Amino acid sequence: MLNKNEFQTQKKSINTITLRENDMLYEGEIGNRKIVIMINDEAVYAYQGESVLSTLLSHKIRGFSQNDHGKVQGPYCGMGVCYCCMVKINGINKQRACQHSIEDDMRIDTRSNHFTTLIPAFEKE
Amino acid sequence: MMNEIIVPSSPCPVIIGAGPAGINAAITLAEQGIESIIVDENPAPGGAIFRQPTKKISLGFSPVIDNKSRQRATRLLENLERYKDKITVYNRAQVLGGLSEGDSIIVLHNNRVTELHYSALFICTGCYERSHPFPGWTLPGVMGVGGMQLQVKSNLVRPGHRVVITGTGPLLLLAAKQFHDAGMEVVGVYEAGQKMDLYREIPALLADIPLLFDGIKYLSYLKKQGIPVHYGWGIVGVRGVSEVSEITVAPYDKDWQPLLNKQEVINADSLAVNYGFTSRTQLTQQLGCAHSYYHDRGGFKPDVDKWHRTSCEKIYAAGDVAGIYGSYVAEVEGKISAYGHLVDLGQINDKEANLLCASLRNNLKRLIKFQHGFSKLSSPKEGLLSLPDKNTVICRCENVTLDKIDNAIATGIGDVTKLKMATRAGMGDCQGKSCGDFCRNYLAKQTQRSQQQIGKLNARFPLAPVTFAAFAAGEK
Ligand SMILES: Cc1cc2nc3c(=O)[nH]c(=O)nc-3n(C[C@H](O)[C@H](O)[C@H](O)COP(=O)(O)OP(=O)(O)OC[C@H]3O[C@@H](n4cnc5c(N)ncnc54)[C@H](O)[C@@H]3O)c2cc1C
Ligand code: FES
Repeated sequence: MLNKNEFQTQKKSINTITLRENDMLYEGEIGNRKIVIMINDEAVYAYQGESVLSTLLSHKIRGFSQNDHGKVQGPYCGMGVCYCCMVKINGINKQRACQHSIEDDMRIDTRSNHFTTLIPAFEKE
Repeated sequence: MMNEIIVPSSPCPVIIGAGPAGINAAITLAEQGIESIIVDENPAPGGAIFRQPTKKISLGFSPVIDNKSRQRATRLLENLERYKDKITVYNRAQVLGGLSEGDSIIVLHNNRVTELHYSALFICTGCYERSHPFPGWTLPGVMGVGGMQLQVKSNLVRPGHRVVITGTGPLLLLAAKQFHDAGMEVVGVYEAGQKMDLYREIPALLADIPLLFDGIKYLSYLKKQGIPVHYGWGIVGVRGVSEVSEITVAPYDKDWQPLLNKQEVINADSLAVNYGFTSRTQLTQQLGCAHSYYHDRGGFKPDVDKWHRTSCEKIYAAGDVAGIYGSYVAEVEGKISAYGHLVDLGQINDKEANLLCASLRNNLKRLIKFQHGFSKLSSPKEGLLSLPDKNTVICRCENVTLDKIDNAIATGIGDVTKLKMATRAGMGDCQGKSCGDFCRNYLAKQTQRSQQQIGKLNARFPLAPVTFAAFAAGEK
């Protein structure tokens, strides 16, 4: 994981737009602020407020969610139900990419997703 | 948008879900002067059908949305806005469960947990796409039809380039049009139902001419664009190294068993698949409402009376959560449930309410008749259960393959709860929302037992994984 300073240096070093070939609209048609975020320690462009899942898809990243079994899989439901799109966001594991929105200085990691500091569901049986 | 949930000094009606059902319930209450709170986990109101884009664009809605839906969505959201003094909407607010003895729900909003008391609870949580495992279905590039559609509808991003659509029901045609309009190459639509089953239901479909006309419009559009629609065909499996690259389809017999000697392989990078929906009943279950099983209409759904009261006091259920009949029905049911609450409050009597709802109920009858027109075509058949092979992952969260489930059944296990204990299928983060339907139907088939005997996976609190920090923040 990059520390804050490394992040700032990387951020400054980008001056060309990483091509987002999966965007349906041209840049000029989109009113959201364009910001730089980190995906797997690499600085890339994203639109503030779009879902983390769509940022990943727009950068052609479709395989992620290392689940508890280390298996790579793709997002499935796109609406928060299946938990197949989990990534690490700002250091917190197991965040659903489809249900989180892009914010300034966000750091997304699609490579690790361990079971940490989460409250397990209470078993009724 | 509010950063923090403000708990009102005295409890008011709380509505879970800002889709057509929930919004209409809130508006109907507001028209009668009753204030309410809506909580929804999406970033903006609209629900699954009227999902708003996450990007600011001049059109307001995604360019793939047709004019009719745009108008419906705009009208609904303008109405909601008109009553903003009476209706407080909390978005990005996920309900983790409820305490029915305490008449309260637990909401996660901005990494903080809040307990919200209600005077009445309207559960309008809609539905999700049912997953039917087949070889390769966990590969990146395979998504639900609706899930993929949300990408082009709400995120304005293409989830792939060359897509095959398999499944059943009218959503496939709409999605094919939208994917095409989004600039994706649609190889074809493979509808599992037989064309004859659709033709036989034309009398039912005539119950709503405008909706029937919409369907015909989509079909002729696809024809014009050279996108073929194959009836009686469906998925066999998917292959690829790190992502989808080959999709195998085959004709289905009348039980939806694929005829493998006639299978065809298509090169494509994406598969959209939808063999039906499941009602999103985790909350009605967790709160203890009684449920019954309906094979065609989303599986288990909460029992409701004519005012959409559930078996639990003060709790109503409306929209797709109470049976999958689509957005028009959801709108009407939302209104009827609100009138039901007015009756319960003594604000109007039963007779007045019946009078107020007479035309709504007529409408409902017609819409439901239309929806039943798809029952023959689209009711999921047993052949689908034969798709996964021994090594196909059934429960994605806990990585449980079919052979583990078969082994458990061989030891005499005959209900889903025991199956879960033996294999961990359904014990993961999604709490069985993905594998629960398959496990139930597969068990029922293999053990020849009824759905009631097989039972359903219990929804557990919290309904979603949550950090200790969020609970701690709520304590402050
Ligand atoms: C992915 C998908 C795409 C669809 N696309 C179309 C379409 O294009 N055209 C069409 O006619 N029909 C479509 N449908 C069917 C359509 O969703 C429904 O017919 C209609 O939206 C039902 O309205 P509703 O109000 O009952 O539920 P919904 O519109 O689904 O609204 C339910 C709301 O409840 C919220 N919710 C659920 N659980 C919780 C919780 N625990 N905490 C907080 N909020 C919660 C959800 O976020 C959602 O916004 C789609 C369905 C799905 C699943
Ligand atoms: S894709 Fe299913 S939860 Fe995100």
